[in-house]
Amino acid sequence: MEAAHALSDATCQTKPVDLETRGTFMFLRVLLRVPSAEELEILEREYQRALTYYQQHPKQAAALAEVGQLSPPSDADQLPEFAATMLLANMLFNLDESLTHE
Amino acid sequence: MNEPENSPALALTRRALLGRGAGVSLGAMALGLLDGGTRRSQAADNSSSNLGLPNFAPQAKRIIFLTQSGGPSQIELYDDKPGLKKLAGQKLPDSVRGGQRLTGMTKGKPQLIMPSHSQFARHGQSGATVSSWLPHLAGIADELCFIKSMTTDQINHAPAMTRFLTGHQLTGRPSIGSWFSYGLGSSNRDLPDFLVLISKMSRGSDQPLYDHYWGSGFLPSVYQGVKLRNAKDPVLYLRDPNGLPRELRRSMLDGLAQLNAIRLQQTGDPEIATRIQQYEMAFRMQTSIPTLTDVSDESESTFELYGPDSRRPGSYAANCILARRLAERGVRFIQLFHPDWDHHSRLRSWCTARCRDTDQASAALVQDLKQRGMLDDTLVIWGGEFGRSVAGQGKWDSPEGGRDHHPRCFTIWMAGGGVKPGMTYGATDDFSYNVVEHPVHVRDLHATVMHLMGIDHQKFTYRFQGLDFRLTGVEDAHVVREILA
Repeated sequence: MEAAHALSDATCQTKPVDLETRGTFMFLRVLLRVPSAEELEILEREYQRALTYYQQHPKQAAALAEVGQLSPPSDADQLPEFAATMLLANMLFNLDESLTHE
Repeated sequence: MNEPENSPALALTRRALLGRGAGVSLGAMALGLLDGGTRRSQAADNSSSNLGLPNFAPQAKRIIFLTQSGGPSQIELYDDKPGLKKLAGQKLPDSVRGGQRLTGMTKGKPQLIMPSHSQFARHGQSGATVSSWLPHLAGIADELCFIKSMTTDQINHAPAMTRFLTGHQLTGRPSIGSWFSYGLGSSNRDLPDFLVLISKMSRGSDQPLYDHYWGSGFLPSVYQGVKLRNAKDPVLYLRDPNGLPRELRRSMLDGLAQLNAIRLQQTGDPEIATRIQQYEMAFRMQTSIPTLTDVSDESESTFELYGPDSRRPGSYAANCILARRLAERGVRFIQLFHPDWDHHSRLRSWCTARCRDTDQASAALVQDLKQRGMLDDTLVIWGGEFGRSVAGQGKWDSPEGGRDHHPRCFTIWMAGGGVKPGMTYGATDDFSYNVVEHPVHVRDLHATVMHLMGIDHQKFTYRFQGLDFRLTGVEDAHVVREILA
């Protein structure tokens, strides 16, 4: 989760304008390739679900952003986006493709 | 069957390539890839539901294997040879030794007969000989089936244990528990089919317990044994992080599984299928493990039955209680390891210490299963990788004396699960050196255990690198029908 925190930091700092930009940035960082349309669709779905949840539960977003030793974003408004991006990062880090060198 | 080579893409992945031909030659690899197209893909479906197992109605539904690592001395524990007292200190006759190879530890040293350090009596109506060092097991002798004529062909620990647990002395074959996980699966979807519990010891053992003892070898790794930590928390990091509710974890795992499935489709790598299944298993274990290991619902009488050690998490006795709880939950293959049975010296103090660790709890497990009506369909196996020599190592006439490894004969016992209770099968010569009646090779034991689980060991094969492998290998292996109930 700490690495996910760092990747979320790096991703949010680029201020991605849409999910495609966000997902592509993260895919490149983790897998050195761009995601397919099918993959982007899954990322989009999971990101939207997480974002909606954290917008409704900002305390949970703050709690997730506290995990690990890195500091959470200073601006509380950014927390839902940050937490949802952390979840995406966690998902990408756990892909077989990320964990296994073929 | 069973090979991933005809996957939709047959991408030349590292795993697929090595799985086909590592250690053979490039030519063989190429051939393997060429003929791959004719076989059915198993990549997307490495479930065992299509194997048609069991072959016939099983006697045992599950196994608890109490593995005693290091080579417990049959001469001190089960195989009473009163005649040795008269021969104490004499040279072991060459006619008995019969050219038996020795380890580097006693090679070239005089082989002087050391009688048993323990006392024996006959126990129960069956009159089984059990050592004074194992009073609790002696008390349930009528429940046990002793095989005194076990034999193996490996004289050192790792090859012998590998032989004992995978059917071959070299690594790379699936362990016996993995064969059952692959062949039969388990009725419990919330726990792995095959779980491993290792006793926490006060000092480290001289013999490491290698992961391949419960590994899946060439079977997909989803069938390997899952080792629990021998501590209060048997699985770490079961809690989700703060701020991550269960429903969001669930949804994120769905997304993860879909992304992994895309990759699986592209590469046909069965290890991705394993990973997808393992994430799901881990999710379910987040709730199944805490209820498994929280023994606060056990009665006082249970802890009394298993002995004082059973309150110490990670002890053999505590693991025996966990084994029973796993059996109740339908786990197919539960394997305990108790290390440190390698008594080259100080048999009298050292071996008795290991007996104290294990005697009461092993007996309690059998009794407990019986009380709960589970012994009939649970097979309990107690045994190690080989036996110990009649010749003393070090000074035969001193309490410091020990014994070196001995592959030609050793004793194991089984209970429940379709095995005759109160039986002693097979016999050794007057020196407990050679089997003279009903030899049971390790592969015969494997064939028998498979039979009890409803599997014909000759039919249950898995194709790897062009060969149809089976647990019992290519040599003749026989079900020991005489011990079947």
